[in-house]
Amino acid sequence: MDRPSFPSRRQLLQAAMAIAAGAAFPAAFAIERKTTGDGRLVVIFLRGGLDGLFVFSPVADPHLAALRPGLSREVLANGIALGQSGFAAHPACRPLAELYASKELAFAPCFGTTDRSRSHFQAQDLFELGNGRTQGRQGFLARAGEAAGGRVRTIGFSASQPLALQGGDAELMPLTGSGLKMRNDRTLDAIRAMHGQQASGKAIDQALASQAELDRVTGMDPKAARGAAGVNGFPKSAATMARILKEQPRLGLAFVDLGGFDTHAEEEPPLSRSLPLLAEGLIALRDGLGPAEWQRTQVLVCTEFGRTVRENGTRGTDHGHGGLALLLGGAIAGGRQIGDFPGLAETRLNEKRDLPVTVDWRSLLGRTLKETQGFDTATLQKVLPGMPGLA
Amino acid sequence: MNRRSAPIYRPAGIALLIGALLHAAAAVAGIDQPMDEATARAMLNRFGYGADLASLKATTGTTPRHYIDRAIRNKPAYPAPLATQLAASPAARPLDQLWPLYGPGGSERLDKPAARQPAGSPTMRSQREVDGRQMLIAASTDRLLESANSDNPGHEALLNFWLNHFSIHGLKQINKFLAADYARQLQRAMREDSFAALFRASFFHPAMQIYLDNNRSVAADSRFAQHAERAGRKLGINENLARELLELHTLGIDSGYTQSDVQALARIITGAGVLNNRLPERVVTAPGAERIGYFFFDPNRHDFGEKRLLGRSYPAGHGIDEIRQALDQLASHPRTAEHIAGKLARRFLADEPPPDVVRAMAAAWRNSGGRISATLAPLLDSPAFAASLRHPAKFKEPVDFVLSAARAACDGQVIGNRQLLWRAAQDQGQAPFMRTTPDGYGSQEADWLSPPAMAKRIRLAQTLTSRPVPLAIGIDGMDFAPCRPTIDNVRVAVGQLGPETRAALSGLSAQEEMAALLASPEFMRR
Repeated sequence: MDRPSFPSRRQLLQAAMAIAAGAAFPAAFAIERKTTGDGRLVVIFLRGGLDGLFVFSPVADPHLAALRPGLSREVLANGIALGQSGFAAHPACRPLAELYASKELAFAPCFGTTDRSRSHFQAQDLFELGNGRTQGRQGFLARAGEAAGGRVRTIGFSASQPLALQGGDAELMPLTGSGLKMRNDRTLDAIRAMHGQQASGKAIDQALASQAELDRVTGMDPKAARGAAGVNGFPKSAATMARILKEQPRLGLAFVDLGGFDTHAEEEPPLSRSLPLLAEGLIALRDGLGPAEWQRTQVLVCTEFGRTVRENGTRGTDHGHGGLALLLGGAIAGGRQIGDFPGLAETRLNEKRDLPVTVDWRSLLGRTLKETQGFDTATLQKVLPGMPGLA
Repeated sequence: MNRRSAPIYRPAGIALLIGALLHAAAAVAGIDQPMDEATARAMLNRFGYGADLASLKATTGTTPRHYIDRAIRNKPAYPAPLATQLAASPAARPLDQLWPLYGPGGSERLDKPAARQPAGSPTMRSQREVDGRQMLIAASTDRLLESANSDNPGHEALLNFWLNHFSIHGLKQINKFLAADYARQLQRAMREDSFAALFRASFFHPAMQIYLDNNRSVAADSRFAQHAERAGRKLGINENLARELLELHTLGIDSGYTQSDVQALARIITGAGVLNNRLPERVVTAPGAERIGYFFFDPNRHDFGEKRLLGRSYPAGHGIDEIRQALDQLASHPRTAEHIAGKLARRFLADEPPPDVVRAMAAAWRNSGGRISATLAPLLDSPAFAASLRHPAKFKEPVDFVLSAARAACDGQVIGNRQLLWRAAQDQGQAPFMRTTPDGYGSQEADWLSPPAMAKRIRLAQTLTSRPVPLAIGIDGMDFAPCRPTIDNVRVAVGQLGPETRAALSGLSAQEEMAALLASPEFMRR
């Protein structure tokens, strides 16, 4: 499906050649006019099953210390209270607590899918397909992009296509690794002709277009142009993402995934390292977008499932059910908890081991899509079939 | 199979045409039909890493059955200069040498700084870290070099399939030192032509125990846990490995097992772990304890209670024998046959293989007690396979592409530059032993076809053909020599071209044509 604004192959070729020749950027890539009233949704998907109870802990719950003797020690001693919610942020997540205080962050402690398998792969598929099933050809963001029509473009900041974007015409722009550069010569012309309109040919065209955008955006930053030393972590890529999103207001749907949250054993040290980077990246995203863009942006940070309420025998946690989701943005109703938290008493747990799901993932995704894309109920039911209602 | 039933009621011309097509297919189809050159090329791409003149000559005229039997049972051989390099690889050191140094309680402690710090490292590295990284890259690149240069490419492709099925992450803890041995043990098991043997080799290897945390899993009421509790440490079960044994290694997801089966299996495999160098001999040889290589079953950590796994009861009082029984139960479960048959067909036939082929494979598995050659026979004998060799449609995985492009560019020369292969495989996201999650790398087009992937492939094709690339091995087995691809060799490797590709090539110089051919749709598929 061709978007009206999507440059033709000829335009692309001209653009790429213009870049190669150092010429000014052609009109096809001029900064887009901002359409007022349009919002943007950025989904940050933490793969591996984040232990949400470690990030934001229900410190007011009398069962916490007994269930998590090792993992709750730090937060019980030094946690940062999140208003009157009864939760406190782990000290490694201080910036998140500050965002909560400034009402730019809300959290759902029992967010999740209908997954019963506790399999990473099944739960991630279920999440990303968003159709209530574990099989399908099209991810929910691909359907959202279709529903939004030509007014909105969809982008994934990753090197390979996540399931959430499959079956649509999302662009991919990896922010780490060797990227999209190809030598633009007669060979490339021939290769593009051979691949034609096959999926592989479209992928080549998209690589050229994205690289042109990336060159332009990073070209604006003298530090990036000098190739500042190589921490390829999330804070840096979040800053680049922010620049690209700010430059391209029509990028209304974005997806990023981060790995490394499957903490079966000794989870405190790795989470104490990775959570500050996550928080720093979220701040970099907000600051990079600037106040006006931050107002129209909602960021949903989520994971495929939470982990066991009890600490396991190796000071880690095993696969669970309900998990933590964070909603951030300049104009969201922040400083609050989304959905119920039934507490940690054994009778309130799912199968006596995990948090239940009180916020269906489609309900919160639906809420953010309604607010950022203006989708009506019928559209939401097409994008997220089986959505039980808005969170 | 009823594939010769041409519809005789059709007009004669069409019937004749169909008959001719079926006949043409029959001439190359079939597990016992000698392969012509085009079929051999496709076979070398499907169960291997690309054709060159020598492998094409060796394979043409042989049958698929011979190819696969040899792949499973015969040890591969590598050209002399590479064999020298492989023998000198750090990863060639046997585990018997490595374990006393780097195993738990070993002499190379984490706090001992390296004699020579790596250049540019901001923090002090221990000798153990420096050695470990070198060892893992060696293990990973040995695998790439062996896959690129083997006289038995089917063997390498199948071994890589099993290493990916029983995937480990080499960067986890001491797995840096174990990855190469893990590959050797699976290779040995593969020659037994039995899934159960592969499954056992994986389970009883310290690399798998460490990767999925089972070495740390302890029954809460075991002697070991009680002892630790008196010292103020609470120990318990970790169900990571148990879940993946069911979900990934054997039955597969949605095959009917429940959370209580995961928990029962986690209890059954308590006590399985790795040998600690400082363990007193009397503990290693105590009744009920068992050492298998550097795998160690410690009865003091085991849950001796009664369990129920997938409807079968495991009475109280049993140790490692119940682990063996449980592994057998999982390996011989009918859902395991379906799961692995489907996975083999998706890797070696099509992203969506015909269900009847998968059913026939699963049946062959059951009838043969999980023999891999028997399971692959219906696939090799199917009309769908013959057709797929005529028109290869599966999008190559990154390693397939990197190695086949290197082989095409180096035709006849031995590929020996492990650094280049490592960088290319890392960049394209499929270096051996580097998958962090236990599901292994995907084999489907949707897993790999993306704009960045196309950009990387095109860039590699451009690089390999635009200047002499030092990919080949030098005369002494260590130094590098340039590969100078020739248009004739590249054409041999790529094979038949479609009309769009032929048209796009017109007007290109020989050098440009080589780059375009290595990035052509035909060469991206296998």
